[in-house]
Amino acid sequence: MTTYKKVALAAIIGLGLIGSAANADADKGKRIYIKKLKSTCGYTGAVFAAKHTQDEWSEAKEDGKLGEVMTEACPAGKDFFDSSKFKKKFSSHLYDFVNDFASDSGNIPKC
Amino acid sequence: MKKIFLSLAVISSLSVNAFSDEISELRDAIKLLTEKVNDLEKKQSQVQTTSPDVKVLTDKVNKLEKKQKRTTKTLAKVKKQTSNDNIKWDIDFRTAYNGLKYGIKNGNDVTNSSVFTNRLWLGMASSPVDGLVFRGQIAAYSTWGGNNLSKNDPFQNVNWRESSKADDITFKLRQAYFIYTFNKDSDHAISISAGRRSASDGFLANHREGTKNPGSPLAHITNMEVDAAMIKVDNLFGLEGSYVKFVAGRSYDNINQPSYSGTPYTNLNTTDSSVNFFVMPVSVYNDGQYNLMAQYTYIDGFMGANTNEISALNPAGAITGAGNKHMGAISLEINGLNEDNDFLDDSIFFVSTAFTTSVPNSGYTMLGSSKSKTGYSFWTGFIMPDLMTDDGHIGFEYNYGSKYWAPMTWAEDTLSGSKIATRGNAYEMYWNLPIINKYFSAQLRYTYMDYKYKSNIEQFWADPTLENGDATSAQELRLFLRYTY
Repeated sequence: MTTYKKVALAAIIGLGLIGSAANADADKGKRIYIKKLKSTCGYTGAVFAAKHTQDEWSEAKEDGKLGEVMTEACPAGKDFFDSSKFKKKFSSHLYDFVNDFASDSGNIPKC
Repeated sequence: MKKIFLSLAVISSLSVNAFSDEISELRDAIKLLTEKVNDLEKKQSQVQTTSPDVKVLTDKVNKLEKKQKRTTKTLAKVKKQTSNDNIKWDIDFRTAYNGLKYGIKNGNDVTNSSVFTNRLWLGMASSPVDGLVFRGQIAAYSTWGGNNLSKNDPFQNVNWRESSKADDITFKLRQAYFIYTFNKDSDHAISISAGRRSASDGFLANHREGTKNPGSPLAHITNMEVDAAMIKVDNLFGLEGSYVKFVAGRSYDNINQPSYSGTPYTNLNTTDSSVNFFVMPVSVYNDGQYNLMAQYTYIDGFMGANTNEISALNPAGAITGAGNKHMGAISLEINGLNEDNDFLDDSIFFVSTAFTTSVPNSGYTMLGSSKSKTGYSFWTGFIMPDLMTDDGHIGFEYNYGSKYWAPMTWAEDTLSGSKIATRGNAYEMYWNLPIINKYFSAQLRYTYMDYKYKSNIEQFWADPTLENGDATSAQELRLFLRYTY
């Protein structure tokens, strides 16, 4: 067996063991915004996220009021924020996204 | 006289009596008031000490005052420390193992079972006012240990790939540019930008590099570092997520006379010329699921061969100013194939097609021919959840390139040469695995390139026909661990 075949085998076993825990993903949140909300809200995800500070988004999440606060930021998206899919599937990714681009995040756009 | 004194005495005694009554009344009133004040003070102090709400509030106010004082002190220290510190830094560090194997026409296989590399990108960003942004990046990309790579490299100061090829531990400038955006709130915001950018990790190549967000150039025809100026117009066609960029730059400066020569920054060889380019990447439509992009590129004064230039120093006769080049590509990515199915919703499919056309000037050859030649390519990929871990993805890619296919992919896409520039068939499989969120990840990737013609690494002036000693195949196995924050 050549060296790189051994490396490949060891890597597959090793990486498989390391695994990874399910994580919320800001990039996924950004895509969800573009796909589901951009045309409904009428502005970019950066504008939407900058409607609140990181603390405000965080407080809304902790209080279980993320959908409510997001509806205030984008009233036209009420149906989406009230949906069970938002609560089960999208909210954690969208939260990561708005937290990354909140008004006090200090993030600088790339282009 | 006596009568007068007597009268006065009587009057004064009467007055004193009258005043003493008033004084006595006043004393009583003062006494009463003092008692009332004492009572009130007593009651107030009783309220202060006995009412739990007021006590708690008083304590809280005192604590807050102390905290505020401490915060003000800390803030003053932070202000002193960050004064004129106008750059935000980020890190992208990757350490990798590479195994390489090449099949040689009428020759023995060439292998290197272990090449280890370190790659460090230090990113910079600053934005003093809304709409004005500076971004920069310095990069060091080196093999583990020393090497003799530069000894056999005929090119110097190759800006288009300088920080993208594993070499030594020197830091090089990978990116430095400003962006100024005006009428930002309009539907058609316009940005201008100039400087140096890495047009590597472009659209679709991000998957095989384990990077979430691609750059804007289409990776099918562009993978290089560029010095250029750019104008970007948003929402040009009124389509969702559309924009167009107009980029003009220089990839080769026709200068070889150093500053201490008699004619600094010129080239006495009049047959050589600078190489300039115009690129127009277009985001046609992007709704977050369907992303359609296109790009046209024109290169003026491209490299080719002039048989009169063949010498011991330049055995290929390679020279700039041999002709022009046109390139085009159109790429579609579908991110999320079916919303109702978690597996398909987390899968990505893409397809891309491209062409490159060389147009040699009279008296020159490009790709071994004095005639215009066009090459074609096709690229497709499917990325899906690995079904073993929560966030890992496995990707499969296939590339095809025809005989005269010659894209601008001179930065690294595999250590064993450009997979995208393969003239023949290329197959690839990779496993991208986030280990700790987006901060620490791994990738295992295997690439197999089956060359029907020359491997097209950099010999864009040469006839693509395979000769003895040319590589007929290349394989690379890569395992990396990457820290980004």
